[in-house]
Amino acid sequence: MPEAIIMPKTGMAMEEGVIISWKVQEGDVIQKGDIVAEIETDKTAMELESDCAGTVLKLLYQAGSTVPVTAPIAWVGEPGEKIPDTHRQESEKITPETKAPEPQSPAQFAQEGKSSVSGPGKRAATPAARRAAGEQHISLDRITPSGQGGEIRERDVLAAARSATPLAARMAEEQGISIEETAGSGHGGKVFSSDLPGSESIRETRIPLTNIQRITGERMSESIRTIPMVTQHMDLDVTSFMEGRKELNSRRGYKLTINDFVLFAVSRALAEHPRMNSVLEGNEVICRHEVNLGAATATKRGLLVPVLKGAQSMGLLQISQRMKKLAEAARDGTLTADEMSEGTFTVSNVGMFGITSFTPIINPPEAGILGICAVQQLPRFMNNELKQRSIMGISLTFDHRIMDGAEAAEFMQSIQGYLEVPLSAFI
Amino acid sequence: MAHTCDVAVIGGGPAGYIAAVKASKLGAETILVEQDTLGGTCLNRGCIPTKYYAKTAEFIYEAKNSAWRGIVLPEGFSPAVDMKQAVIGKDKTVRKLTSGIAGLLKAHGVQVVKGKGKAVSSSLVEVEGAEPIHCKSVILAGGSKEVQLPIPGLDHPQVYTSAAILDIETVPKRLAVIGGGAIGIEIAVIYHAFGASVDIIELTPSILPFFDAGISETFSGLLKSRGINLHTEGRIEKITPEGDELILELADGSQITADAVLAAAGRQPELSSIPEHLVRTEKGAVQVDPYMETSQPGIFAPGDVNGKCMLAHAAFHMGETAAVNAARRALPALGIERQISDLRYVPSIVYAVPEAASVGMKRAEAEERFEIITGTFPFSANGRAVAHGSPEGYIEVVAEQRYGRILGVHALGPSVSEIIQEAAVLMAMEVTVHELARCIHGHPTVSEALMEAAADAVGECLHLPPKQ
Repeated sequence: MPEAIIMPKTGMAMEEGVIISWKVQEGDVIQKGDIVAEIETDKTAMELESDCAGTVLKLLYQAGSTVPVTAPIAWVGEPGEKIPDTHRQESEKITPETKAPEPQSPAQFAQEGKSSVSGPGKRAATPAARRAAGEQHISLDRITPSGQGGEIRERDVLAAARSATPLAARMAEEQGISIEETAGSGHGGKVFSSDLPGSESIRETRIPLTNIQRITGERMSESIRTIPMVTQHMDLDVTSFMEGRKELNSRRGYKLTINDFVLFAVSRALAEHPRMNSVLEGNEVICRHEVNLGAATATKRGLLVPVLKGAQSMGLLQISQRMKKLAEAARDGTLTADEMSEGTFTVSNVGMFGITSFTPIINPPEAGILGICAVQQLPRFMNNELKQRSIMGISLTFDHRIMDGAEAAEFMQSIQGYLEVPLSAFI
Repeated sequence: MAHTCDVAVIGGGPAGYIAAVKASKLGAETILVEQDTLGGTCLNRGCIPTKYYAKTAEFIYEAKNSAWRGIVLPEGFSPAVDMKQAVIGKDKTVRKLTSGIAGLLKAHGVQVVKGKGKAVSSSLVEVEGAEPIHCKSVILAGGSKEVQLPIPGLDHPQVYTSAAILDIETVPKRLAVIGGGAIGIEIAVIYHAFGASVDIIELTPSILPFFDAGISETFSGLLKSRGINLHTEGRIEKITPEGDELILELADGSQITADAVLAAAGRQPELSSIPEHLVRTEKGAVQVDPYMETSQPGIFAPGDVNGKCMLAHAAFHMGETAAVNAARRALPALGIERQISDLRYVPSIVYAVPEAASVGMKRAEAEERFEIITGTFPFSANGRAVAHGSPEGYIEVVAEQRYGRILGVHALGPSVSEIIQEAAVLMAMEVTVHELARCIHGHPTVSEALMEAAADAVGECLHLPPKQ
């Protein structure tokens, strides 16, 4: 009468085991105590000894199969003995997701990789591998199996597990970051705190945005996303203006900057072109009668825009003095909220950096922004003669919903008038 | 006949010789140029000879403090040092180690060329009095030199550099030490033990200004209690000889009389192996990136010459990094991976009696950047230290509150030069105070104090009374 070798129950909680490999073949003659297979439980891997002697008549499962405890896995007896026909029913007890498909050869199995999955998202794995994967929070899908039947073994899980430093593990846990999905820079892929997203590493320095930078960034992004903007560039011949300014400054002993004149010219031009000093609300353009001129100012904490209120009725000197105070306050960080609000138009001067043209972004909800560029000494034809002239670039960005290019060009021409022929301010 | 090689290294100090060994080990044909003795400042004029003398000082302190152990010494016994013999012993120690380096380089197949090397480009090194070297990348490891103070009288023969004072054959009766940094303190403690009366003059408000304030303060108290005079915020106007004496005049009007003066105001990069404009320098140091590469591709500058961290052990690390990246450039076919030098966890050590050691951020620095917790363990509560008769000092652990990340460890006491390594390793491996507090340390050992300090940081120290 043939005897069965069964899947042993090695612990109270053990319900099934995996045949990792067979150490015998059908037809082999074995003695009691011979190693017939290597099996793995959820706790350990072990060698299975035969309780009986004789010829191996039948191996009931392929290596890699998961078998319930106490189920026969092989029959041993005299050659030619008939073996009981009970094992098929037993084999049905094998849990579907872990059962290795029997008809396939191991080679086919390995080749097809994921196709060995018999349920959706499930992979053949030993119980120990499943436990380890659970402990390490690793998805079995990521693991390359090494089992003979294509099943994932515990050692595969451990090899795939990313280790992390205690600090990285604490940080990852608190921040809900998966260590498993983090590429580690340490030996063997060990995850260090610097590998976690958002942390500092020696290869780079992370500088948090200041509040001002963050708010400016948000506003600029919003502006670019929502306003159809156009930028137009124009060159102004400011030769006589520059000479006049020089003379005025030397006579009065007070330094009026190019910017002061530009702000003055813009305040007058805005009064002449109310649509440039407006805001779009629904289907209406609301033109403001007050010209509140913002002047973009770079500070250590970020870009600030102090606002010169009621500029349309200020004289040049008044604009200059008021602007000087506002700029100082901006740099010292003492600007009040009131001094930064209710702007109707903005001027951004980058001339001192030698910039010759740029595309400023509108400070919403304003209708336009004027960029002031560097004054260059350039050759220009005047009455068919080549002359050295002082040329200043201006770059105007405007909201195309409020006006079109021609209207914007007229506004630029007004500024051109004031700066090329300063006497026009008297008109 | 000009030399050719893959990697040329200028300088045979800690950065240079390690770079040469590493480059050679990676398969690069390597030539090292050294004008003097191999080993650099550390071995010939710095770390090693002072450690030899520091051990002598420790012996003397121990002998003087041995009656409580029941050791019977002849009445009126006062240990004295035969400086002639001491210098011979010191030189013997240094020779043994320098010949070791020569042997090491030879064993690794590094060719050593004697002479003053100067880089012309990343592919050419000129050597005074020898053939030029054609190479594929250059490692500049020129090291550092002593800072020269603009003090009148500093050129007097009784004013010594930290290198020269190691060779004097009599112990001066009165020694004035200019500079209260690591070098100044070490030599001050040595000669104080040898019998000199010592004055330390430090320009800043505290000695060991690069250490945590707590350590500086405790150390100051300890030195004063031993009878060493400290003059902090002391600016020397001039040094005048009077007979055999030197008179140091300070800006506050006070005077210090000495028989010998040590000028130890610090060290600065030695740039003579670098032609001007070849590589970018800033504040007298060669600028390098974390790969140790200079602004000139193919030229690397590890060690003191880049001023990043002027310590021999940092130089070893930087030298190795430079070698890997230089060999990678010279031999692209080998597929060597780029390497960086992470200098965040470099221990600083003062080898005095007792020792001071530190790694990571000072408490004040840490406080600026993080919410911190700190733990302290005094050596007076450490069994081994008390049995040793060295109960002075403490270990402090500074950690980030949120995760327990160890930000800095500061120690003053027996054997802390060895204990600080454990702290550095734990910090580099990101072990937090929570784990350290639960790591079993051998008992009784001095290093237990580190674990106890970590436990104190998380309120779990069982060898200290509860905090109020």
